[in-house]
Amino acid sequence: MNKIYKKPKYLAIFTLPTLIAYIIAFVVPFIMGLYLSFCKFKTIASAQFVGFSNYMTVFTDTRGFIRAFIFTVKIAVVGVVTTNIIAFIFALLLTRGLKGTNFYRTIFFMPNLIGGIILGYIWQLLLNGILIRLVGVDLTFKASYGYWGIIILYNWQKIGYLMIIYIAGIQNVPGDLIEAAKIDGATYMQTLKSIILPMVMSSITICTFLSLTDCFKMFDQNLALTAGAPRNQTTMLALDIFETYYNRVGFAGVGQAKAVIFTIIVFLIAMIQLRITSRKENN
Amino acid sequence: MKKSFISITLAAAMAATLATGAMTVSASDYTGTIRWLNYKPEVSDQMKEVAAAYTEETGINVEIETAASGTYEQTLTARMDSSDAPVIFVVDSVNMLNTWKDYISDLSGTELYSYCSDDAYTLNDGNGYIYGISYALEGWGIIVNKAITDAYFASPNKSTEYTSLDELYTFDALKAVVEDMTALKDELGIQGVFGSTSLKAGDDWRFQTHLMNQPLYWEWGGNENIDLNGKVPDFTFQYNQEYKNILDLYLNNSVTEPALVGTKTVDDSMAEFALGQCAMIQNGDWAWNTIANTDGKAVKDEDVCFIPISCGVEGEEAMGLNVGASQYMCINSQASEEDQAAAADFLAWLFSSDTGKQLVAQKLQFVTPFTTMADAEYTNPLFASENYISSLGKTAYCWAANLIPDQTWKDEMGADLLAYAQGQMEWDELVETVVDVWAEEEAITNEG
Repeated sequence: MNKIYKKPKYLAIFTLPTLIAYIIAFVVPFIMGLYLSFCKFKTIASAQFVGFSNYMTVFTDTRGFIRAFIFTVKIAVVGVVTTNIIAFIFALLLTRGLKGTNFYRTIFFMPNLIGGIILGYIWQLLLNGILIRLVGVDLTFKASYGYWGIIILYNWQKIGYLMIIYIAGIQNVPGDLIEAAKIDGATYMQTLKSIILPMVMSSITICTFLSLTDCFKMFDQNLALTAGAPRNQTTMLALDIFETYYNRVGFAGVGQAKAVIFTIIVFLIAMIQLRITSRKENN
Repeated sequence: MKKSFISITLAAAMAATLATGAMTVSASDYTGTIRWLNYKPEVSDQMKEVAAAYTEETGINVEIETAASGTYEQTLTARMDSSDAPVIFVVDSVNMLNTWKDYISDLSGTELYSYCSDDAYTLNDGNGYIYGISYALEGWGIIVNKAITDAYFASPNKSTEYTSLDELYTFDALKAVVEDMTALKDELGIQGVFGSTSLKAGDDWRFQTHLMNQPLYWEWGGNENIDLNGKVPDFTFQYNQEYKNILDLYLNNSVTEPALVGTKTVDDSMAEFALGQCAMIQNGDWAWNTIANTDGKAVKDEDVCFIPISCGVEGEEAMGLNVGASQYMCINSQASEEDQAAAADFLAWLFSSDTGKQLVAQKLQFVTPFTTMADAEYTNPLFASENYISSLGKTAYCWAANLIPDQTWKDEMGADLLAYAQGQMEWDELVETVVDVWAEEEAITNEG
């Protein structure tokens, strides 16, 4: 069997369909996008090359991209930490053989199945209802309301998903290791710190990677929950790119340039994070 | 005599048959689809009825796609790049025309243009190239539920001397009446005089665009001095206090508290009006469809009328509603010749055939500039009210707001108005911000 794959003829036959699909759906649009970021255009057919001026605009407009970037970083830092910690705690609780474990796992996972737009509108109603009752204002009143709104929404949506990954990791910890630790007199905290955590390091890598890239790419939740209100102070990167591209006449090229920068940022951050956590994994 | 009459009739009938025959022949050759990217969400269902009626009569497929409120240009951008780009689309201003010029074919040779009563209702280059023809002459002001104001005027408890809507053409009069009505709101059975000031992002156009018409009109020196086909003029917000006058009146005498207006949509506000929860609302004649189709509508058709917006500028008692042509139909020059021809035939049919005219007047409720539509009968009571106000000799404001540089400015203005309503922003800071943003966007728009 092995030999068949090694023959170039077969190799081509087996990989070609995927390769073609990949080229059509990813490589070509990416290169076109890269080219368009150096152009002024309304529709793709009418693009005119303008050099780096789009990129200059991106970095000189402090109210747009840079503000959105800072806000996104703030969301990402808090969002990644809270979702991962809470998901891990849930995973620990739901691997202890408690009654109704499967039921709870299903319940916690379910929010993840609902689309971000719908979630955004539902949470907007909920949060507005609470805020109006308690403070007498709504989500658009202060940027910090929108900020915490997004964090709460994101936690609610993603915890279940990350929890499932952590549960799989924790279940892979060999029972005899934990038993041996128990016999040696280790407390639960010691077991957690010295056995479970190192053993689930690969899950942590995956989960932090997923939540980090997720936070940076967040769009629909942001659009539905705050749409940038108040005064674009809660606009995240993806929404800012969308607004620039579609809502600002003559700024499609700038939007495209923002998207290219965005891709590079997300790529770099994800790479650095993978490097760091996988180094820990190997230790 | 009689004989010749018969022969003329016969000849005419024959000519008509021939003409229709010719039309059907050319029509039946066409197998494509006429795509119309509709600008007006409030008539999206009615537009589909129009499409179905045309398909039934001619067998030609018409597809209507409607862009959500406030997203027309972004939808158009996306659709123009697709292989099934719209053949008929809408341009709402000179600024938008400049962006899309390369996609617009000349309508001067079309049948539709021959129906158009005046070039003022077209977008043109001054040399006979017709980019677009308006299909909707629209007016806006403050829509009033006369039943409630009449109840107020008849009330023994009122403390103003005003007794009719005809006296409310100055801001002082309007303010006095509105504030007194607020004091008597329980007696009048309303929750507020004005419907909610809908400042939710995307629903703020009544204020960041339409209400801006007043300060822009006065700052730029009125109908004689405003060139609607020209470049974006400078803007200092000279009449910001007057704008604030009317805005504060809306906010403080409303169904909804000022701090909560960020949750309100135009639909919410229109529902309040239709259900009789408020007496007045700033909107235009296009809102009639929404009012008429509200479940549980309490306001009677004959009670719906307009009064002009006044904000305290000297001379405004001589002014009427804001009236103008907006939304010009264009035919996509990048579409195939057959598609363009089919689209032109369809538009000619829509505004001149009996079925089409019926649909335009009764369903779409467009007041059009077409001579063929002169005998159309409308059901919208706001049109009658527009005629009444101009019969009083009041001058209509032109749509100065069409010269607002772009959506970015409007969004900034809307967001700032919300912050102001919530008490998060001082008025002076708002004025300074929007004037600065105007300067930036003006440069971008005029240069492009």
